[in-house]
Amino acid sequence: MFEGLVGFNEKMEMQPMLAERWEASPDATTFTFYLRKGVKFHDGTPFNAEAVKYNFDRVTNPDNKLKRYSLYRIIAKTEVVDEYTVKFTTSEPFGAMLATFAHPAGGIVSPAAAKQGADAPAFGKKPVGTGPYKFVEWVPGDHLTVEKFADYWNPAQGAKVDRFIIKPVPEAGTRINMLLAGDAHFINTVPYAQVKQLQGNPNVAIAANEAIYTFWVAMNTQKEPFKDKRVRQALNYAIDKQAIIDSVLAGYGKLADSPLAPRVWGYKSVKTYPYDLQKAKELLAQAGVSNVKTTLWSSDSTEAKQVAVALQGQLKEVGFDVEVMAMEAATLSAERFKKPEENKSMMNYAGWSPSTGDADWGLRPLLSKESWPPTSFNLAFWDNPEFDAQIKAGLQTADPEKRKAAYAKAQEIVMEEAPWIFLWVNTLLGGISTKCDGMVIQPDGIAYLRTGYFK
Amino acid sequence: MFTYFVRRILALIPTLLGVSIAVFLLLRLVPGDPARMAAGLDATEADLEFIRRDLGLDKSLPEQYLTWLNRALHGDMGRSTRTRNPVTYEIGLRLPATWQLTAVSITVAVVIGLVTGITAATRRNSLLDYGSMVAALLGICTPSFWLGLMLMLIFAVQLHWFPTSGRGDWRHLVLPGFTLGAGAAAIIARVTRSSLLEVLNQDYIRTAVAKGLHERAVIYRHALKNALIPVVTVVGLEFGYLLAGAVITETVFAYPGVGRLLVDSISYRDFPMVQGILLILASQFVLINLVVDLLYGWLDPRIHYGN
Amino acid sequence: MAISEAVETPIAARPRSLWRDAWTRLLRNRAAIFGGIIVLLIIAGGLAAPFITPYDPIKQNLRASLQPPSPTHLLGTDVHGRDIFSRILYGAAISLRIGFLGALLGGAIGVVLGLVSGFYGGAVDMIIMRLVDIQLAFPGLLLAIAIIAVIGPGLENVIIAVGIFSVPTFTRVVRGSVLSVKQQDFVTAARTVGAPNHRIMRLHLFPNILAPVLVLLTMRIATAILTAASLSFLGLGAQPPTPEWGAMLSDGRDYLVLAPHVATFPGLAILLAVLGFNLLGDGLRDALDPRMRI
Repeated sequence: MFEGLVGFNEKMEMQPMLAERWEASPDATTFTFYLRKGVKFHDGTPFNAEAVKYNFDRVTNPDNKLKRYSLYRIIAKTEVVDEYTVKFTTSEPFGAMLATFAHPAGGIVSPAAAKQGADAPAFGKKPVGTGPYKFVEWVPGDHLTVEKFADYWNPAQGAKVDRFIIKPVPEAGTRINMLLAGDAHFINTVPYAQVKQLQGNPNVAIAANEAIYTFWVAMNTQKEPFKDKRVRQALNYAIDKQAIIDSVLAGYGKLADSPLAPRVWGYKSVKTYPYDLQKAKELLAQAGVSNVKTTLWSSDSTEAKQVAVALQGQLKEVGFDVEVMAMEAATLSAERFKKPEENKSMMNYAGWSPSTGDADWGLRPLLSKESWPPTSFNLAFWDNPEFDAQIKAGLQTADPEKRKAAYAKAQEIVMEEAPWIFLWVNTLLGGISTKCDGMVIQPDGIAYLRTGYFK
Repeated sequence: MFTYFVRRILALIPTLLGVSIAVFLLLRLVPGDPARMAAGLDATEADLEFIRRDLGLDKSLPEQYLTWLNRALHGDMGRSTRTRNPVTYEIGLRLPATWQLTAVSITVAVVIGLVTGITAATRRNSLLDYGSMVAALLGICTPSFWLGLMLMLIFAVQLHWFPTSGRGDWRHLVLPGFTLGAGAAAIIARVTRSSLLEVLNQDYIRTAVAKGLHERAVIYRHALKNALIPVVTVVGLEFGYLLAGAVITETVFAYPGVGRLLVDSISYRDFPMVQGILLILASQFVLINLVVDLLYGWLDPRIHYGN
Repeated sequence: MAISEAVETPIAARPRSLWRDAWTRLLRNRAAIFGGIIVLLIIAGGLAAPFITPYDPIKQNLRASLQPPSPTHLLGTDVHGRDIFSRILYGAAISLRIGFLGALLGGAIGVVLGLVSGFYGGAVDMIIMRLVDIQLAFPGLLLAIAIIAVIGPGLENVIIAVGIFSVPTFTRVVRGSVLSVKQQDFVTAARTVGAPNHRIMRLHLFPNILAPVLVLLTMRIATAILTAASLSFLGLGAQPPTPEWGAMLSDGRDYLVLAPHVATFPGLAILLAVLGFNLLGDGLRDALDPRMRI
């Protein structure tokens, strides 16, 4: 329904959307976008620089209580240069700004519709954007319907089906049954445990797409025995990741060779820790660590629990007696986000996908000192000034080459210091009826439907 | 009768107040931060503070409760922290769906339960009796997610008789209705059997049979009505549970009912929504109990509502 | 009403023969014997698990994941390659413990509340019954989630949650029995001679409500096992890798079609246990007092 100034394709590559081109100042503080002409909102009002300014003024005003306030807070001001040119100024250098505009929250809504709906209760609001499909109705808990927008600015990429009906179906077995029975044409997602049910059926196919998720176990580097780098590396050697991928993930994953997934902008292949029990034991002996009792936190989803139990079994081989605590989501995040003094986390199994598709959002919230809980998600409580310096350098400039160099260095430091046990990058699985094509799950987990069509 | 009715209605008030206070306190005891859940993992501390203030979570507990109560009495249950829609709107969307499903499944349960129970009781200690009672026990402990998915596989995927899931015409209600009704049917069958057996052993029934009345006539004209009292109690209880406890069935069939909404809201720590739903569920529950009590009087004229 | 008729016979005067009669009747009930045998078998299986299981219940072998039943693995393996047969036997001890302790805990609290409520009546009765109403009007699931969330998951806490779950049922049944026993001559007599309240409750009321409590207890063990299983199903039960039946059942939910043995066998184990305790409970009721309404 919505489009941003820039956006991602189904491979998470940046693409021009409502902006035809853009410029950034070398110090990464001003960003100028040259907008596409002749674009109309679903309500018929024209898209222009004023509309863009309205959108970003709205999101950066804390009084509007919009969810993504924190993402765009860095924008100090938005100026209309002419009808189709708009200029953003940030309060400090922010090299990852472009990716932030590509974030799904950067979708531009029609100012006319938004103003009208401002006082109405939320359920009366009709979301109005510029995308190839427009909103028809939303019945919470039941379905969302969108239909073809006839005046779409790019007919070649426009809607190929009349309408989509999107239903929330929480039970995976049900989604698969819906697809098999022909009640659904596309499902997001298929759990690895059930993927075999789709294989070999002539009416359905698997829509697989490599994710930008990396999965890992963060070790609390401020507590024993994880203060010692040798212990952390030893655990990396102690895990037979491929065996877990083959059983729990049904083979749909590849070993993580960086804290970032290959499809994240700025990724560099660094190295993997091979499964080597001997080496693990040697390192632990050097560090003088044996018979450790500790805890591993994970979410209570089936897959997370299966992984946690597999990790538990393998860590036992090197003398780590791990208690798995699978917690319900809200409890887990409450525990994880406790202040360092109260935080009881030792080992944490988690996965992360940078929703901006940029290295900054894949590293900074997870590993920099400023991101210790409760501020953000540095569950390893890792504190490495060298790494922090590289992250900062990556934000000081808008020059892609300079940024890439900084992030490459940062990834090397992480792999060597091993604040995490590096596990895998997974492949997201959707199911699609053989009657249609063009739909896939985006690498960040969102269904990518706009290119869907009937064969 | 009328004063009894009024007294019973008045007695609901402390129960409902108790429920609302219990829910309120429990929600605050449960770990988990509604602001964090609403804002997402990557929100900053400032964002969270902001949301907490917006939800009134920075005030003292009694103050929060009284504010909520005051608004609720005026018909405003607040807004969901998840969808930002008014709580009453979201519940209003789901209640009819839940009622429909409950009506279907309680009908299924009562019909199957009564038939099985009566058959078993009239043929006591026969193979049919043992068979139906074992079947009833199977019904009680068959996990509904398993039953649901199996029914779906057979009747929707293989045979295409019914849609797999969702809400729509009557065909959408058949599979979830059976899934949900199966457990209650089993319980009703057991109670019907034992209660009918008890009545059949009583003197007046024996007399009736001895007088030469046809056995079938005895059962239906005399015994059944008297045997129904405990059955009505159980049906009432099950009705209340079905209205609240359809979570798993709703999840399996992607059915937009209140149960799912409740569980989703709990895991999301959507306090206003949870409070609203539970208040409504509790009201339904106590009202049904009241109806059950009134039914006793119809079934057994000896029961008076005086005291 | 039914209960009052039942206890009109002066059972307090000849308690021994009542229990002996009941025992004889129980032995004549084929279904109850069958239930009893199932229960005994499960108990024996759970106790003997460490000696007769072929594999360590938590030892993983990811390379032998999801194998169907075979001579090597009688009931197959789960996703982590653990032997399901061994896990079910070990799980018997765990599920039984939850069942027994959960029902006992609920029973103990419920009996005390029911006795007090029924005996004293008046304001005490009203408060207790309102509390029971409140708990009954509360969807069980939220209560369980809330209890577990507050005290944390784990085996002991599951027992507590399951116990609290059972309190209202016991309270109501005990209160009902007390109300009918209270009116009888021997209680009135005890009161006239000035026996203190706690003595009346202990010596005169309690023995007379023992029968319904025993029956309810047996059936509640089954309910407790089922409740614990659904808690595990919701991820709130015993923590991995504990081989609790409900947890094993829920581990298998994603493999219902591809590897049905993962869910089927733990499911059957739960079913057998519930069947056994229910048949035994039915038999006990018929033997002690067929008119008891439980």
